[in-house]
Amino acid sequence: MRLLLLLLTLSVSALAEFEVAGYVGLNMQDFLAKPAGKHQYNITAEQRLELTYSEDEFKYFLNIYAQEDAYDFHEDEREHNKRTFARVDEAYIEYEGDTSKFFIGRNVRFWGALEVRNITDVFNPLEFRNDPTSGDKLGVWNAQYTHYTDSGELSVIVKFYEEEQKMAAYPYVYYFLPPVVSSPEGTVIGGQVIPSFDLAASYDSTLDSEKGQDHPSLFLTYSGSTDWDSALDYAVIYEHGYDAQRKFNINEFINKNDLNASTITFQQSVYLVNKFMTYNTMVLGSALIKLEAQAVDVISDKDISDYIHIGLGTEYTLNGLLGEADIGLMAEYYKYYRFDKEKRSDLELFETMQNDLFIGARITFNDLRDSSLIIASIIDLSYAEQVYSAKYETRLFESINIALDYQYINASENTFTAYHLMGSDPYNPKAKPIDNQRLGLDVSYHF
Amino acid sequence: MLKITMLSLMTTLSLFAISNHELAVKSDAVMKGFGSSEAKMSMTLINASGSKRERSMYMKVLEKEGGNKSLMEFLTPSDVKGTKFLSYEHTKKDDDQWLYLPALKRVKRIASRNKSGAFMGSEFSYEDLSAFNIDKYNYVGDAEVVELDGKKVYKSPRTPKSKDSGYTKQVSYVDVETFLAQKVEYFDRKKELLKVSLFSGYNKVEGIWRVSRISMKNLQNDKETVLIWSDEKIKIGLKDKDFHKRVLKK
Repeated sequence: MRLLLLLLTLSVSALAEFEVAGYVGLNMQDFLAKPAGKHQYNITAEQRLELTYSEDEFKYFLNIYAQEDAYDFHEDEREHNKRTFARVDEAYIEYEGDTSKFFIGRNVRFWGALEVRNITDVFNPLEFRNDPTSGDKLGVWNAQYTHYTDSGELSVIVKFYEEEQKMAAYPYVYYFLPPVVSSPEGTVIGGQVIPSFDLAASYDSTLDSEKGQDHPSLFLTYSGSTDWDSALDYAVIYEHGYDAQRKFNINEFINKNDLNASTITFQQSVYLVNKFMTYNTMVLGSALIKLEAQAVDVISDKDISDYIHIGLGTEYTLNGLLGEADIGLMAEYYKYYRFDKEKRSDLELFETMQNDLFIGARITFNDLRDSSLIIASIIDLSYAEQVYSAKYETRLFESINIALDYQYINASENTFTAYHLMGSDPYNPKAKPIDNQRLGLDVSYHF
Repeated sequence: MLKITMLSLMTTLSLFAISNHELAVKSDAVMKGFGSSEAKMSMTLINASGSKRERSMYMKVLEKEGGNKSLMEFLTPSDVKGTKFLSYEHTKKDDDQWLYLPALKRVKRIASRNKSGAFMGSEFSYEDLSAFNIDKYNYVGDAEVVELDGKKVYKSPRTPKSKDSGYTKQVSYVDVETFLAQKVEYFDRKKELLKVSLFSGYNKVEGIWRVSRISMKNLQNDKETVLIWSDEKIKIGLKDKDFHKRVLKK
């Protein structure tokens, strides 16, 4: 008992030196429409803890996150979503000098200007075990040196390691790979052509890479602001290293003695590129004009074409239109273009914003609870696919946040987009997919 | 007797006779010269039914001839802790403003032309919170001497030059002795009285007048916001580099 008290006192006094922040929360989603075999609802508990310690010019920061999916505690292992994990998102030391900064450790960065999809936000891979629209990102080990000028900053960043993206298991609604794949017609085993049969398909999270996961990626960035009448915030980035766009390898394991034991695995693969990126926001009167773009030269990979990805958007805020509320109107357009049509297409690379238009509104109610409502629609102009969503957020008792959301995905009927695969019958992927409809509630306590 | 009364009246009139522009210059001068400052700030939002919510912030200001620079960091509520608002005021063009959202690690540019937007859900607009600048208003005629809570004050109207202002007119009430603002009335685009701000808790720090409490009452929706500054320090030697965009992500 004395030892316990001593440990408690020591840990409290140690923590007293730190600035502590974070939240605990519960995320619940009910899927009003979903494909057979996938879960009807989902409940996830979330915890985040951030510890900051600063002394003179040094800052030490730790950011850890954990979540538990209710299905992962189900007796039947086939029901498990494999979404229960703990993660170190950030752990770093930073030195801030007068005109320079040095950083080493693991962190999450944000590069971008647009609202729906940040084409240039390539530094951290997305967490595939969560809803793809949540924007949850994985931390990355890297080092950075920055020199500050009067109106901007020049940085050299070296990423040390390419992170793997683990994925939830099939019953989770947002798992988008097929759980079974038919063997090709004319498969020859033991010198005999055999009829097509179903192979169990799964995701192998080990990352295939051109020069090893520890091959460094180099980023040179310059960002600044102009002093013109129409102010401009700009950033240009050059990268030599692994592309954030990843391709999937399909690995077949045919068991000649027992075809039922044969499997297929999908495995991610990364390749080296030279990449130029830019993201910009210009203030034009009361409107913001935004541009994000990347031009990518694939160095040696035979499957992936050189490509360009551009997003252009605008945002205009109207004050006091609905009583005291402000309304921000937003519109964005995205285009993905590959130079070599023989190589993998946007569909094979699961690129969802290849020719898409976004129109949305953000209503800020300016009330005591900081309530807001976001309404969004994304229309795929190539594959007749639409996503509609609405999210209302508010605060109770100063420290409890409530978010209610509704999302409707009308997946492409005839094209194998990521949303089509997510909503299709695994044994008949060519059939019309089920439109995904979701009601969500997120409650979190912040400290 | 009449002569004495007339003389006394004329002396008073000559003592108080001041143009609205001259009054604005004097009123501005008594608050100038702090160089730079830092302070804690609490913002209490009160709705029509009397419910209250409090936000606390830490604020730094750099006094500049062409427009002040300021950095505001939210300390509470917990979910917005670390949110920062950086502003460079300009007299002849729109202000530069950025918001840092720590959960996303994102710096967002704000279009500042529309000045009537509410600051963080309060009754203060971005326009109300920017430093007073004489050149942003037109002045006509002389100030009138009136009584406010038993004190003699100058009543002085001014009209914003910017067509993007949320107001058509402001009327300030300035102490005749100290030239410190006591009250300002704000008239909306329909020329109706919209809000009234009251200034109190003036104290002299290192020879410079500082205000420690401003309340803003919206007469059309009956809401109120009270700003209170504490632990204020001035002339602390802050430089432009302390307001570089880099400080948002620090």
